[in-house]
Amino acid sequence: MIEAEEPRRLFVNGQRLPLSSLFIAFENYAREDRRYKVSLATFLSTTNPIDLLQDSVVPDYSLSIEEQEDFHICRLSRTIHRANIEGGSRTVQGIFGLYRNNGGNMWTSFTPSGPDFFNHGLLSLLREHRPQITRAYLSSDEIRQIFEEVEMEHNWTITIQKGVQYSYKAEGAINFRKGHFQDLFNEAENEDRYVDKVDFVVKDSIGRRVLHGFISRDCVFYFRFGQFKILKDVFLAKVSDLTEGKNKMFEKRERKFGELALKPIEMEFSEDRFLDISDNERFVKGLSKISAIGLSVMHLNPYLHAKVLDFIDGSTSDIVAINANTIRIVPGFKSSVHSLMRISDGIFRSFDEGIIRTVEPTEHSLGDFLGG
Amino acid sequence: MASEDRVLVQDCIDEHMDDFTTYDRAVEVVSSWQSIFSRVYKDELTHFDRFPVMGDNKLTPDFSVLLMEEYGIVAEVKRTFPNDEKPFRKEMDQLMRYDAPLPFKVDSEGTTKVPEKHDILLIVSLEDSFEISKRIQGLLDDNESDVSFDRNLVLVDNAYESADRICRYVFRKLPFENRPFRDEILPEEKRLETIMGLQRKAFSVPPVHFIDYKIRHVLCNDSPPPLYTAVYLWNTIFPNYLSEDDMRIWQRKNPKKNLPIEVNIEKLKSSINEHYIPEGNVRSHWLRKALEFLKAAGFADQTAPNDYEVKFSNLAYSVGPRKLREEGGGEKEIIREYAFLFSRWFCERVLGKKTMPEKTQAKKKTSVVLLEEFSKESPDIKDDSSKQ
Repeated sequence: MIEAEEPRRLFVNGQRLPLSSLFIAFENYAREDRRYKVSLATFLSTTNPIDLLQDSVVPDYSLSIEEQEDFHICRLSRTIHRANIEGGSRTVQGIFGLYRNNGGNMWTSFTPSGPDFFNHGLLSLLREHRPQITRAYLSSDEIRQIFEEVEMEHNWTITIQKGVQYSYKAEGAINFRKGHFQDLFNEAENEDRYVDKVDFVVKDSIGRRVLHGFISRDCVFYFRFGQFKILKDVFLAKVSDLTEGKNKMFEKRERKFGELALKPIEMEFSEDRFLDISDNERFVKGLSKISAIGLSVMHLNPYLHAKVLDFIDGSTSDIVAINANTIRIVPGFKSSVHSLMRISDGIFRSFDEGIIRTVEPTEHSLGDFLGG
Repeated sequence: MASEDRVLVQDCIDEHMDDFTTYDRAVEVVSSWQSIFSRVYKDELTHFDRFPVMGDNKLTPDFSVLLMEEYGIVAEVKRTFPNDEKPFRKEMDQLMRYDAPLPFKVDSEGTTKVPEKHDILLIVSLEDSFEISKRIQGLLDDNESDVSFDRNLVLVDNAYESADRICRYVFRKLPFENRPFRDEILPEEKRLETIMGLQRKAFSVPPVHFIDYKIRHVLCNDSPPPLYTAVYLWNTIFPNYLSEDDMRIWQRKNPKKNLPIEVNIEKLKSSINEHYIPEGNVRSHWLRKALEFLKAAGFADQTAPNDYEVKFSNLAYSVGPRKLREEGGGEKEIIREYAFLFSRWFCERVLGKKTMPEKTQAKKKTSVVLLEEFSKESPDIKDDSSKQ
C-alpha cells in the first residue's frame, strides 16, 4: 500500500502547497491501489491547535509543523516504550495534514501514513492534548441524518458495504452486510442497537461511484476512492455543522463560585427508559464504563441521581433522571466541552441515544406542585 | 478474608450506606420544601433559610421560612421517631424549644425579624405518622403532662410515591389530631391551611422541581454522616485543589498516583460556605468527621490539630461493575462507586485493625463508635456548634 513514502514526495520543501493539490494525489493513488486510504479525524479546539501543538512539549513525541497555503503539514515521530516490545521500545513516525473547517472551531487532521501511525501517532497526539483538543462524536441518528441530507441534496445514492452495530442489551459487535443505508439504521433502531461505523459508497444519479468512504461515530473517516472533495466539502461540512452545534451547547456551562445559577442541559430519549431500578442500574453501569471517570450514586431508586468527576480535566456534573425519558446533566464549578462531549457520548454508547437540548427557565404555579 | 469477617465488613458497609441514603432523603425533603416556597410562594416569600441558627440558644431546626415578613414556619424533618418514652419526650422537648419568639432571617445578609406569628412544622414519614400524631396528641391532652405549645405544632407526613411513571415526594397534612397553619396573612387560595387543611390536598414534588435546590445546597441543617461529606469533598472540592500539571500526571504518567492536598478545616469551611454552598452553614465538626473518616479509610493523615493531608487520587480505575461471589455459589454484579468504595475501605481497615469482636457485639457497634475508637489519638478540638 502506498503509505508514508509517497506523500512525502508531495510535500516539497520551500513551496507552499494548496490542499487541493493533495486531493488530486490522493485520488490518483486510490485509483492505482485498492488498498490505499487516507485516514481523517476531526476535533474541536477552542484555541488554535497549531499554536498548541507547537508550544507544548510532550515526552516521547517530536513534532515539526510547516505552514502551507491553506493547511499545515506536520511531521510526527513518537517513541513507544512497553515491556512487551522487543528492545523495550519502538518508533512510530509519519506525516499528517491539518486544516480548519469553514473558519469555525472544528479542525480536520488527515494522513495517508497507515493505521499504525494514524492510531498510535496522530490520534495519540490528539489525546495528549485533551481537554483543549476535544474529539467529537456522532450519534447513529446524526450519521443517518447526514446520509439522508446528502442523498436528497445531490440526488445520489448511498449504500453500505459494511456496517458495525452494537447492542445496548448484549456484548459484541453485529455486522451488517451490503444494502441501502436506511436498512442499516432501521435494523439498528428496531433491534435496540447503535451504529458504530459504516463503510459506504456514494453513486451519482447515473450510477457512477463518486466516493467510497468510511465514517465512524468517533469522527474517524477514511477516503478510499472517488472525489476527495466530496468527503471534505459535503460530508465533513455536515459533520462540522453538527459538531459546532454541540460545541455551542456544551460551552460555558460551569457554575460560578458563590452564585446560585445552574446551566443544565437535558437529554431526551424517544421512549421511556427509566422504568425501574434495573434501568437505573444499567445507566449507572454505563456511566461507570466511561474512562477516567469518578462516580458517586446519591440516589438510585426509584429515581436516579449520580455525580460524575472527570479526571481528564477535573470537570464535575450531576446527572439526574427527571422523568422516565429524560435526564438532566448539571455541570458543576468546573465544566468543559470536552467533558460534556465524553459524558454524552458515553451515555449514547452504553444506554441509549437521545436529543440533547438546553434547559430554559420556566415559571411555576401552584398547580405544578399539587397532586399525589 | 474469612466469611465471618466478610459478614462483619458487609454489615459495616450496609450501615454506612443506609445512613448515606437516609441523609440524602432528608436533603431532598428540605429541597422539596425550598422548591415549594421559592416557586409557588415567590411573591409572598421573605426568606427561606436552609441552614438556620436561631436566637440566643442557637437553635438549629431543619429549615425556617418567613412569609410576608409576618408569618414564619420552623420545620423539623424526622426520619424516625423513637418508640421509648424518654427519647420520645426528648424529641418533644426539642420541638418545644421552637415555641418561643424567634428571629427569622429576612435576607441572605443575616438581617432578622421576629414575626408576629410562627408555627412549628413537623415532617414525619408516612409509615409512622398516625402513631406519632396520636402519641403527641395524647401528651397534649394529658393534664399531667407538661408538654404544651402556645404556637401550633402542625404534622405533615411525607412519602416517596410513583404515579404515571413519575416519582415524587408527597406531603400531606395529617387530617386528624392536628393543628392548623396560622397563615391567614397569605392570599386565601395560597394558604397552606386552605390547601393542605381544608382542601386536604397534598404538595407533590418530583425530582425536576427539587433537584436544582439539592445540587446547589448539597446538605441540610443536620450533621451529615461522615461518608456523605467525604463523598462531597472528594467529588466537588478536592479536584479544585489540583493544578493542570497534577491532572497531567494522571493522564500521562501514573493514574494511580496519590497527589497530596493540604487541608485546613477552618479554611475549608470558609471556602465551602462562601464559594460552593451559597448561604451555607457547614460546620467545622462536620468536616472534621469527614476527614477523620477518610483518615480511617487510608486517604488522609492528620498533620496538625486542624490540618490534614489528603491523599487525593484518581479512583477512576476502581469505579465500575464488579462481579461478587455470593454465599451459596452464586454471583451478583455491583457497581462500585465512591460511596460504596469509601465505606468498604473504611470498614475493612477499621475492622481489620481490631481483634474480631463477637458477631452480635459488632452489630451493635455503630460506625460512629468505630470511627471514634479508631481516631482516638486525635486531640479534642472545641466544636463550634451545639447541634450533632
